[in-house]
Amino acid sequence: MKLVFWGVRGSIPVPGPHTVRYGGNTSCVQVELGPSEPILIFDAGTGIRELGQALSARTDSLDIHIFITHAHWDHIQGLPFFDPLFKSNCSITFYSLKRRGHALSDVVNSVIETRYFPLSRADWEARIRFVEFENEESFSVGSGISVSTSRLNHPWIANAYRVDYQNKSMVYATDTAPFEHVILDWDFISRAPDVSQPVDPQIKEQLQVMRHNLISLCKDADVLIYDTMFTDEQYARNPHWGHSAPSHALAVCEESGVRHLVMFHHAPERSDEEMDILVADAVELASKTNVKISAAQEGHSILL
Amino acid sequence: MHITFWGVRGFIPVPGAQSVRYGGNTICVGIECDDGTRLALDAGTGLSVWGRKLLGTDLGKGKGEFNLVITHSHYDHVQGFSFFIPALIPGNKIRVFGMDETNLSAEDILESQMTPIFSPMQTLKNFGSIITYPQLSSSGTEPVGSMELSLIDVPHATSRALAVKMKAEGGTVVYAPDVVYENAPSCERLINFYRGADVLIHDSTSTVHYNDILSSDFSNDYHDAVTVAGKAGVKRLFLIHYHQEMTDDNLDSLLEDARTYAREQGYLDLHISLAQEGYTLSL
Repeated sequence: MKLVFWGVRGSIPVPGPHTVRYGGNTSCVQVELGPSEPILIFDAGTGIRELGQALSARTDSLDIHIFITHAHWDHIQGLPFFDPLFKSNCSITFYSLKRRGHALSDVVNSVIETRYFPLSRADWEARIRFVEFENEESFSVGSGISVSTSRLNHPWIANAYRVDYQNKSMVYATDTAPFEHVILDWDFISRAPDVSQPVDPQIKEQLQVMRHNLISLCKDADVLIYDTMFTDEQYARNPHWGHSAPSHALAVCEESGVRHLVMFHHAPERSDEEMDILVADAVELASKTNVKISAAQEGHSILL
Repeated sequence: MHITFWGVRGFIPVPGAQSVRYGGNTICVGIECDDGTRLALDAGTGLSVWGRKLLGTDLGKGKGEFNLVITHSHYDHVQGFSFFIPALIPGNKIRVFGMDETNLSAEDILESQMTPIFSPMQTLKNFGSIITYPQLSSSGTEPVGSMELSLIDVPHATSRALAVKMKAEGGTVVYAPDVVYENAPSCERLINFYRGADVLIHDSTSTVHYNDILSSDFSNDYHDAVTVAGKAGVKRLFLIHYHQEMTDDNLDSLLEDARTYAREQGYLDLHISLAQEGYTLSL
């Protein structure tokens, strides 16, 4: 199993000299299982464009599976530029959590609506399929390839994915707030909740269930790619934005027995130099644990 | 009048080492006048970069005013608005201009990007600033601070788009970021609109067929831009709206070729440059 990072940024793509090393494209991670195995892709931020170019060089028939965590722009905005959609040798299956009133096919169609983008669904020559799953559902996407899911704490609900293949496993968990102060789902929260105030016991219990499910999903995974957009201070200021800090991610690793944490969904305003500091701080924090920590960098890969 | 290029790409932002010199943000041009009037032309990701720089001004304190023209609804012209921080600060006043004859309500364009499934803001109504959407007509002009603004609709493959003219002390600037001419040399209506401009900021994908926009050997094209700029007698032409595949080195060649072509066509007084992120031209 090989994890390839095509886009590692959150919120908005950030080109420029200050992001050349870590990368400025929005979220997209590829999981390579082998030359004749299906191609797994997690999220379709702008990073998916270059992945598409790499794939479109291939002339054999490609079985591509795109797992969407949620449809905020930074997770889907690269889709119209994904070359394999326009290739007849490709078969592409989209996955997302079932959202009432928002069929996945409609969401994908509205991303390429004429008012936003000049090419339409009629230009797509790949065979397209949509799969919507229920919360916490597991399914198979090929022989010996198992995908499991769990809900995250993010506005309009994102979900984490786990892939198990030949005794190797990875979890992709972005975007999420820690499961401590506020439940994020359908409502817009305009003001930051005060994190020093006690949490309503009922909400606390629901958050604990959510966290428990995520920890079960991550159990003994080889790698956990996790939302670490915030520092602790940034989280305390904006607990309602649905993002975490490295300390939250580390706690999940420790409780679930994950050995390698990959920091992901980097804040758009962080320069390469600032990222170095954030990573050094996280490595320092992790030195008291058995968890190895690194930050996702565009163009880099991890071989398991 | 100061013109700053905040985003110069068309189609999709392109981060990475290949775009650091000319820039990888999608399109946004900033106009600032000495009296403090600020106007953004389009809201690609470049607008979010400008927004962060503006936090040190009255717009960072919720006491600022800002103007924006959206020339059409394609992503590369709108995707930066939700990350334009001054729009989130209560007290700021933001005017978004559209034109009433094009069926392009600027409010509709932006609002349809902000629905809860796509944006954590859920609606523009959750932005803290006061956003208004004045409609302009193609026949008149509108004072925006010390500038006089006029719009014209331009042909553009699958949807309609606008070009914008700004007159102020110091000179006249025309912005035409997405134009697909049927036959550029005979397009009198637009050439007349450009006429007299000190600076024309013009599309360099005019001759492109949209089916080619994913092509990895795509090249920008300067012919139409040079032709209309030469015929309209503008002093300075800036090419903009570069394709994602155009590296900094490719763009260097594009500029050389465009200058050679202008000389060959006899437009000896036309000064041609490439829009470059972070560059400011003062008139």
